[in-house]
Amino acid sequence: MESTVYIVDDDRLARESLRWLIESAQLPVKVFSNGLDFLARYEPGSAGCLLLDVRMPAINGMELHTKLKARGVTMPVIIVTGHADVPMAVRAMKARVYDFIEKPYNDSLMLERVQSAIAYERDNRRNQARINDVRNRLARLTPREQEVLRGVLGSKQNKVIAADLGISIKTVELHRANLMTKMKATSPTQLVRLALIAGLD
Amino acid sequence: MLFKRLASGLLGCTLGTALVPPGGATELTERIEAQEQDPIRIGVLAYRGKAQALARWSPTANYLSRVIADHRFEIVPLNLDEIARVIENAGIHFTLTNPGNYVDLESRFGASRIATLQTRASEEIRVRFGAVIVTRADNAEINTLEDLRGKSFMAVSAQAFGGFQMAWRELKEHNIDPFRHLGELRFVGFPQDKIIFAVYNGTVDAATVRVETLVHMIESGKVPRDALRILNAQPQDHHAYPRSTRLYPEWPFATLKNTPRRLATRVTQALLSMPADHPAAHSSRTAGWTIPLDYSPVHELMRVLQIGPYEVLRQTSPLAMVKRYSPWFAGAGFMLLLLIFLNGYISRTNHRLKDTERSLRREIVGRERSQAALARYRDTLEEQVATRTEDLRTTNLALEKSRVALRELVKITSAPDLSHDEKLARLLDTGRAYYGLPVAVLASIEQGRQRACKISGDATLVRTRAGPLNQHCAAQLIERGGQPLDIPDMDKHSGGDCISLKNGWKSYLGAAVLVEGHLHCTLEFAGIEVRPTLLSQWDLELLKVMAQWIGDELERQLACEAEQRHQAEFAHVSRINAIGELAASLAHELNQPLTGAINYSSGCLRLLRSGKVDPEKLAEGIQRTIEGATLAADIIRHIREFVQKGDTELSPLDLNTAVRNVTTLITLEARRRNVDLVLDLAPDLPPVNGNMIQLEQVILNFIRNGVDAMDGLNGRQHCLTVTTRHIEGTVQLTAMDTGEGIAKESLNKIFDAFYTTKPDGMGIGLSVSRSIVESHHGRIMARSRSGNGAEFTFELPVAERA
Repeated sequence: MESTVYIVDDDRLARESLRWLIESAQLPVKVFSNGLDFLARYEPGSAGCLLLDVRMPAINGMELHTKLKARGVTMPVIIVTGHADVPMAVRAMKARVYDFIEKPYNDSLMLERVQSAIAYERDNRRNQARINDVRNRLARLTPREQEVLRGVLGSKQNKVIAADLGISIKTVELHRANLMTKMKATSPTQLVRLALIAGLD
Repeated sequence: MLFKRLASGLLGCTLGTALVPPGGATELTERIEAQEQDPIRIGVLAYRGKAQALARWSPTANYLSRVIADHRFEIVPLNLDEIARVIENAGIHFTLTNPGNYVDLESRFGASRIATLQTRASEEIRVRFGAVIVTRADNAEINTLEDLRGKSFMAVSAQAFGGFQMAWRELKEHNIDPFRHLGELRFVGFPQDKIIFAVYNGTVDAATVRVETLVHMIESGKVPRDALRILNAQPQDHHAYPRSTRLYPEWPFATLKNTPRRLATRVTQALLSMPADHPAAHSSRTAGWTIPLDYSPVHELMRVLQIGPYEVLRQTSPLAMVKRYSPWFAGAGFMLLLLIFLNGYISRTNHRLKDTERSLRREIVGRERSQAALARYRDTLEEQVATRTEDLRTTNLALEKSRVALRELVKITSAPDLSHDEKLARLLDTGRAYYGLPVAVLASIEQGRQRACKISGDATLVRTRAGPLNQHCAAQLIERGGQPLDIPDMDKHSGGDCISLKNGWKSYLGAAVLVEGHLHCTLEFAGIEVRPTLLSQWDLELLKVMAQWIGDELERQLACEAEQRHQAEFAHVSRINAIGELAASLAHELNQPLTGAINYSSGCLRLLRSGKVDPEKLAEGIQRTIEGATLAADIIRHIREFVQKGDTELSPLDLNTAVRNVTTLITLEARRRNVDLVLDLAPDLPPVNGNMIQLEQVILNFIRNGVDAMDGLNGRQHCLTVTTRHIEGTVQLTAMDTGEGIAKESLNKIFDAFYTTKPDGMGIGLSVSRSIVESHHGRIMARSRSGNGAEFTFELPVAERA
């Protein structure tokens, strides 16, 4: 999926010049003149990063950031401001914005931060995809298979598992084979790694 | 058994009389047969309603009509208030009323009793009656009258004689004032039965009624015999029934003052001769009439209670006396004052007469003396008159001339459309014409040296002779203070040093001009011909006036310049202040175009380096870079222009341009404070004469004020509209906000210096605005739109086309 740089700024000159700068670095750009417009047209799951001006009418950059977080949007946000002060920067960082850039800014710094945000987002996205995949596989196990899996992850022998669950060793072996196939794991070690990715304890 | 008999006879008078037949047909015929003359009217107290009274007493009237055949008698039922009024209007001849009321009428109208009513009780004829005060027999708290303090009490009415006043007297003699000491005093009117029931039911603690009421109620079984107890029981003489009060004579039949005595006698005889068992007596539930009794017990009761004719006794306190006799006291006091005043007046007049006499004597002596002197002077008079007349004529001429000149000077100095320089030039011209001297010079004195600053007169003379100035003469002027120096012939002038022959001046006239008491400059006139005489006193006075006016004019100009300088300084400080307050916003305002320019130029550079050069795109980028940089430069230029001191010269300018210039400075600040800035600028606005920077300052002040006014107000649309209009020879600019408006008490002071309602305001913005607008010959106004925000307006005259 291609990453896009979203710019929200009410000032035409600032908006268009930033678009020009980022487009000159061969990155796709979408611009919005205000936060509400962005909220209305934003497609969930889009990839890329978001550049927000702090001072805008109707909804300012920080408020927009808060709203997006509430909607579960994880896209990194870079706050751009023309009149930064320390309290504002502290507030922004506490709100977990990705970065905070003051105007007038250095073009290479801006591009570097944008690139970094995009890369960060891309990594995040990949990780999340893998976690989702493993979780999906886990979800397909039957309750009995999950009980057996817990035994395997606890490094228990088959006969111990059988005794714990009150079933025969043969049945345990059958379940174990099935769950290895479903989890696409070739060895117990790999099974442990998958469980770690899925956050299973 | 005894009670029963009593009831059948006596008690009827307290009961309803519905059984008594009204006047029958026979009586009606008799009445018609009686003489056709005015009937004799008997006023009867109708205490239980007029119909009942009429029914009860009409048979008695008919009886009288029959016995005294030449008169017709008629009953007039009246209530207590009406009786007095009717008697006053001589509306009745006789009256039949209760003893209390009778005593009152006797004292007020001279009513005189001629018979007293008899009643029948226990087969006995009675002429006196009493009242009982009762309580429930089982009420252990009340045994004597004293026990009634604080208890509730019921009676007929305050005016009822048997129904209240009799009991009142007994209470009073036991030191109980029923109106103050009782717990509650209720008057319930007739019939009295309900009062007994109220006691029996325990509604009230005690009550009073006529004896007969109680007896009748017990006889008729309405109340058990032992249920009630009589308080203050009086010793039983031949009266066979108990009572709580003294006995008082029954109702009297009385004649009135204007009733003929003969008629009264005949009525008396008729009444006394009425048998006790006559139908009329039955009807009225009486037992005929007897000779008039002694009513002094009733008088005594009234006196004790201070009511009726004795009510006046209540008013014997010193205060009441003073009130009553106050007109007399006032009259006496007034007469005394009048006497004292007259006495003083007469003695003063005496004094004056003596003074006048003395002064008259002195005057007579003086007059005799002056007569003698007059006689002496008469001889030389004619000669003196001739000389004086000649003198006066010359003086008059000179005065007339100076008067004309003075009027001219006044016209010049008060001309509103002349500038300061023009006024001075015209003053000098007038002076030259007046004194007939060709040259006038106004020279300022700076560090002791003269410097010509205004020259008027023959240009060639001034040029060829290098000015009329003369150091030495000027020095003399300075020495003389405000006194003029007049030199008709320079050659013969003894001042020596003053001689200025080399310039060819022959005559000289000068005076020093003082400003605020200090020497400021000299006013000099000079001519090339010798004058034959010195100038007259009037001419010199005129010169002094002229010098003084020039001084005033200079003083005014200095003050005006100082004020302008001061205002410009003030405005400058206020502009710097304003820019300082906007600094954060302006920095951001600059940042925007600068960032834009940097972004575009960096993008271009990147494109160039990448080798993918698209000339169109590069050109666009560079164009945008220039736009951004130009915008930034414009903002900086505006700030610089706004802050720089600048001169105060006025020139034709477009107010819309001023508004747009200001908007570049304030837009961001407005946006930052969430205010919509709306411009409603009239197209084709004519130019006004003004100073761009100062007017921009006023507009900026207006807008900032509006933005401040809307700060922190929630739930409102924040909108600031700037309007320009061309209205009848003026250009008007209005800034209108949607804040809370201006408080009424602030509205008058809002343009005063250092008046502010903002917590951190200096109070100079609007006062500077006012002085700027006024120095532009304009008008400034503030208006509050009742809770819908404020309007600030200034208007300037349209510039006249050159």
